[in-house]
Amino acid sequence: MKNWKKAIALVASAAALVSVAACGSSNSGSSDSGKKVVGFVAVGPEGGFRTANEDDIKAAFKDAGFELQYSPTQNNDQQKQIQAFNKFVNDEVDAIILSSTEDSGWDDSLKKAAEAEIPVFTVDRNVEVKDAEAKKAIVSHIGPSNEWAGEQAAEFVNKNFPDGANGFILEGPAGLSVVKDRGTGWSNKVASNIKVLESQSANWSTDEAKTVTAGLLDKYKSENPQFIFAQNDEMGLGAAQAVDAAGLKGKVKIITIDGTKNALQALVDGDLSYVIEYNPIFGKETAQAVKDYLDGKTVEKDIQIESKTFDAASAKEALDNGSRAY
Amino acid sequence: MAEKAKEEGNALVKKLLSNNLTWSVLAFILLVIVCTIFQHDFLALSWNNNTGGLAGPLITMLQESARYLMIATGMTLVISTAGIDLSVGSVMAVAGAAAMQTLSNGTNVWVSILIALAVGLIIGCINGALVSLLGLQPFITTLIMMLAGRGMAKVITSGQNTDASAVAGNEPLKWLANGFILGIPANFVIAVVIVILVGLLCRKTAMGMMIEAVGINQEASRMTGIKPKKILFLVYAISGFLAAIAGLFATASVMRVDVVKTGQDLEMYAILAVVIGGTSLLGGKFSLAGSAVGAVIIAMIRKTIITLGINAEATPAFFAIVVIVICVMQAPKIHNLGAEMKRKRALKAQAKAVAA
Repeated sequence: MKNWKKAIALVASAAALVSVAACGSSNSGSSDSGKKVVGFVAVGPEGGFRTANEDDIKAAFKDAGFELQYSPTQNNDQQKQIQAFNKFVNDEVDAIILSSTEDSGWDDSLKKAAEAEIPVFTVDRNVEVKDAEAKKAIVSHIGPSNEWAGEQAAEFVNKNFPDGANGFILEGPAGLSVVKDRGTGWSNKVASNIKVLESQSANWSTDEAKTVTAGLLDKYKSENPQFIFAQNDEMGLGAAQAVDAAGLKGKVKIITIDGTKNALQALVDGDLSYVIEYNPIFGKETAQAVKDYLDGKTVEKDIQIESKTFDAASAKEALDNGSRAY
Repeated sequence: MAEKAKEEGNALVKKLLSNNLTWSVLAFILLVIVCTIFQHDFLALSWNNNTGGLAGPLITMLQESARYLMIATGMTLVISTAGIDLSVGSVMAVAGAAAMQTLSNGTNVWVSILIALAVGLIIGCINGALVSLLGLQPFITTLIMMLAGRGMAKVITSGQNTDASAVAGNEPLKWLANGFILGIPANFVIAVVIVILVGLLCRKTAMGMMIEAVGINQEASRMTGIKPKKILFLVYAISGFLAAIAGLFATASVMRVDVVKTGQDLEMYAILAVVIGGTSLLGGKFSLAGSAVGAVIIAMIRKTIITLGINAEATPAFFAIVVIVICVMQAPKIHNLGAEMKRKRALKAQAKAVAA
């Protein structure tokens, strides 16, 4: 009886250990093959967009003949990203690709990279750098424009409500450059007769967006809200469920940014009204930029990736096409 | 005669004032009042034909509180054995991921629910085995499970946020989080029933007493014939199982698991609910009713944040301040403040009299 219990405890602890090991990153290998080594400081699994983006970058660099060392963080932990970045600098890789979770706090690490003369390419999310020395490390930023996406959302609302309307904005977590840029884009273009009753953060989460939207719909019932601008698809899908539960489906237009398959399907089903793509497929462009730079060619400081916008019809087309990678 | 009634009344008031539950309920009422000031129809309820139940700010609050009720109940039992379960948030994500992934792979919805519950129970049992049989620190054991759980959830869905909202036959699970029983949110009703069942299990049998005994002094409890290892194993298993139910509530609400966000930070909310409920983190005496009220207060604070339209940057600070204020309100030192001042004044008067 005693032994039996001990055996169970052993198995249990072994299982726990294995699962811990399984979630650690496997980051090994050095360049024996003479290939150029590129370090990728990544975000890791976060959702459809991120997976598509990072898989594409990984594939593109492999095709371009680089050895890519992939180092994802967990739960948007910047500390882990900084550690990975510093490790790449110490290992003297040939270039670093940085997809940062936060836009500030990179000065020290970038300075080290500049000293070691390692070129840094920021992808998707830009970083804010104050230090002139650190700025030198960044060769180029590659990614779609968040401001542009916010502008598209504002223009859709302007066009659909020429006589003005009330609505809400669902934001991502405070402090992210994405959130700021998408918000700036919106405020740049939005017409003066469009009134945002309230902006609330729903932390990119579907579940939280549903709760927040339900609360806002209750609070502003008398103001007749007609649009919700959700800064990403996940929140838009949550908002759609709250709108549906309140019996307002079709009466409140929901605009989202990202363009995941789920959102396009919801667009076809009429849960969402407009989806602005934030194109994650730019691995090729990134690999090309890194290659050009290492070959001694000049690289543009800001490489903007083109994105599309979808309404119900074009969403159906894109889905039927089967061309969506995410 | 009247004197006696007054005295009895005073005794009752004193008893009420020294009871944590009173202060928790008072805090809840205060939050509701603040919300009503900002949004005059906060308490208004209406019938929503769309969902077949009542609708209104309070109803969505109750709907959200169901998950906190579940994890707070499990946490109460664990904490009263002088342990802690930091893995509940991650267990929610794992259970939710298991349910959504199996459902979207075409498994029958009931089987999916059972799988999710089993996954939670198994993780709880692993925690329990490590803590009770191997004698590992609960903090470390469940901390590791918290980190491992996120990883497991990501492995289950291969890093995606699996969406099962379009799967045919998902209605039972959808109803679990969004449905209504006699106009009241189904998940809240289910949660309350489960809390009552756990309460009966603890108070109508000797189990509650045994849990408290283990929490106060494990060695002494063993000498009195209680099997502390069994009790420890049991509380972690229950906590894991209840966290799985919470995970179902959280994911079924939108029929979508968010591997990073589902259950994130909820272990802290559960601990807060338990503390607000008056259970000591040092173990021993526990109050399930207190934790239940604490759980509803957590949901109410979150509702207040939305209602007041507090800035995203300021929400964690607001949350913390409210919790601190509630804890201060409950502190015995504060309750005795009046008596203390009276005593000091009497002492001073006495000193004066002596000097004169």
